[in-house]
This record gives sequence, structure tokens and C-alpha cells, in this order.
Amino acid sequence: MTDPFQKKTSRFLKKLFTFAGTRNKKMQKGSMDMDTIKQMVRGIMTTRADEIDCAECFEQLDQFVELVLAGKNISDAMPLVQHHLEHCPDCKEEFEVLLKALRSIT
Amino acid sequence: MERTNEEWLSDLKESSPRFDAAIVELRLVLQKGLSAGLKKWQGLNKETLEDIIQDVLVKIVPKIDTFQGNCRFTTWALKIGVNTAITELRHRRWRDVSLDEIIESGGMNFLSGNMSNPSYSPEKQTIQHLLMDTLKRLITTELTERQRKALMAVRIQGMPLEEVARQMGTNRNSLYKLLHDARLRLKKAILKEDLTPEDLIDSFISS
Ligand SMILES: [Zn+2]
Repeated sequence: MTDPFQKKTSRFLKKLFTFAGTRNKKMQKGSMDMDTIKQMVRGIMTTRADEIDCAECFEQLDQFVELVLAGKNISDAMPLVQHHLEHCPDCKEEFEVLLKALRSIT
Repeated sequence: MERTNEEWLSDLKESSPRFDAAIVELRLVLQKGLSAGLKKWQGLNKETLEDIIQDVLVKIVPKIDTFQGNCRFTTWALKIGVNTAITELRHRRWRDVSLDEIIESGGMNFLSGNMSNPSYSPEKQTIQHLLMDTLKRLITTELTERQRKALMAVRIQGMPLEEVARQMGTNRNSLYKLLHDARLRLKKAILKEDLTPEDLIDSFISS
């Protein structure tokens, strides 16, 4: 592949991720650039003034995860937690692990 | 037979005759849940998991009275367990990565780099370039140094908020608020630009 754009992109990505051991899986596919930007723009454009913070999200996360496990409509029941998880990679990661953990014990 | 919430709460009082048995059972719940939940995480061997579970138990027992009963007790305990475990694993994975270094080598290059998708039509590519230029300009002009740094580290480099916060001398909650404020500023600024939301949706939101 000698596509000049691809060359340029891969050089750019190399520069962007020179440090070892990043957890970003998308970059290994070589297409993280546009995806990352899209995610950022989506994050910006869906920002609300009334977002809850990580502490408030954590407070309600146990109730939220039980609703998810029960198959309830969470965007109706707990929209602010749902919204926070869409904007906070740390809380989202914890939610996903908690969900897996609970599925394993029930 | 499973304990009810009330039974957990009374058994986990240190004066209870069933305290030891309840701790054994809670330890099992944490072991099973955390090893399943964290299966894909590197750096989680048996020893680390045992250390983490010990930390969680020490954390949970004294604050048992703060459990509000809005969910099952084991869900609450696992929530604290997951948070404790991931905080520790994140820290181990990222503690030797310097925020300033990765920002210098990567995040700021984003602001001077250029990217587009060659599979898009020339028209769409032009709009995308325009939007990218706008985005980069607004990130440079609208955000404070700290906001820019945090946004680049979290969104471009994929660094956990928790670790970015630690290196910036703050905590995760405050960093979330800092990023929230940054997103609000950028959103307002983008809406003031001469772009239609359709342009944005076309180029970025839909695929
Ligand atoms: Zn959060």
C-alpha cells in the first residue's frame, strides 16, 4: 500500500502514540483518527448544562446496573446516569465491569 | 440460601456471632464477581486480586451503615469492589506514563495534524476539513491550558480521568467538571460558528 494518505496517517499515528502500551485498541486498526474525532465532537455536541459528576454517578450506579440487568428502560428511569456514562470513560468502564461481575454471580 | 439485605447488615456487625461466616461469604462473592468482571484486565493475578479483596473488605465493613438499601447488598459491595480494583489496576498501568510527555508527543500534534477520510466524497471531505480546522481553532482559543491538556489526554490519548487527575494535582470528580466545562464552552463556540448542525451531523455524527 503506497497510498500517500495512508502513509501520512500512519506516520501521524506513530507520532501520536509513541509511548508504549496504550490501552486504546482502536489505534491498532489504524483508523482511530476519524473515530476519535467523531467521538469527541459527539461528546461536545451532546453536552448538557445539568450533567451529574462522577461522585453522583457512583452513588446511583448500583441501582442503575440492577435496572439494566432487569431489562428496564434506563434512559427513561435514570437519564442523568445514562448521560454521564456516555461522557465519562472511567465510569463507563466501571459500569461495564460491574455488569459482568453481577452476571457471573446471579 | 441467600442472605437478605437485612441479614447482611446485621451479620456484618462486628459484634454479631455470624460475622466471620458473613465475611467468608462476602469474600466469595467478591472473588467470583471481580475475577469474572476483570478477566480481560492485564496485571490481575491471583495475588493482586486477593490484596484488592482484602482492601475492599476493610473498606466496606466500617461504612456498612451508609448502605441505603436501594439495591441488593451484594450489588453495592461489588460496586465498591469494582471501583477499588479498577482504581488500583489503572494506577499500575499508567503510573509510569508522564502526562506532559504524552501531551507533548501526541495531543498537541493533533492540533497541527490533518486528517480526512479518503473514502468520502470530495464535498464531504471539504466540509470535514473545515470542521476540523474550526474544532482545532476553538480548542486552542476557547479552552484554558488545563482544559486543553485534560481533553487531549482523555479524548485523544485514552488516558483514564483518574490518572490524568492525579498527575494534574486534582481528583477525578473535579477533572470531570473541568472537562464538562470545556465541552460546554466548545459547544457554545461551535454553535456560534457559521456551521449548520447538519454539517456536523453529516460529517461527524453519522458514519
Ligand atoms: Zn465519571
